[in-house]
Amino acid sequence: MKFEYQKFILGSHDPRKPLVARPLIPVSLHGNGMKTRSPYFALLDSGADRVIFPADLAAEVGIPDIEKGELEPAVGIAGQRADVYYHNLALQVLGDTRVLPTAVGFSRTVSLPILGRSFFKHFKVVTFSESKEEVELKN
Amino acid sequence: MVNVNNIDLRKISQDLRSFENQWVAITEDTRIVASGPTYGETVRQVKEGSDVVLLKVPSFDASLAPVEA
Repeated sequence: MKFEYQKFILGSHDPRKPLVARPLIPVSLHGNGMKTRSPYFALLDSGADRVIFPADLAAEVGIPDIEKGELEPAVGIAGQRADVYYHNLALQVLGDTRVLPTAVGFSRTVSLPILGRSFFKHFKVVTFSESKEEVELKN
Repeated sequence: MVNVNNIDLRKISQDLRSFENQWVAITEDTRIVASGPTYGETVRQVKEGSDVVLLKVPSFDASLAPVEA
């Protein structure tokens, strides 16, 4: 499965400035006999250890109270800490038939869905091609 | 099923600024058809059966760094 990077403006809009390319993967979240109705983009982040999503996604798989999960704080590169609560759920990449069991952390202070290295382990090879501006996940 | 490789966020890069830190629902031809503060509020505005992918719009004034060191 190949996904082209998506490009974002960074800072004030200046057409001379290059856009920022980010590897976004469309996934669905499964759990408790439910799944998110539509896929959503999550950032594939080889520098993150775990899969962490904004708290509002938990309600879509029947988790009204994220704090009932296992607490494992996360720390960012600037030392900022976030309380993250992990639940055993599953992810499905758009276009893949496999549903991948994954510990998914939810946090009220993390704003973007992140797919860290615990997601990578489901694939034999993960290739970031900067020249093609695409990422490939090989089963 | 949406072919996300047909989505090109550059086409709506200026529009996305209005939705910073919100969720948006995007069609395969890169149109924003719903938005809201949560995934649930956003997806429920989308007509049943419509193929969309949702995006949590990042901040535009800072680059991203890993959550965990």
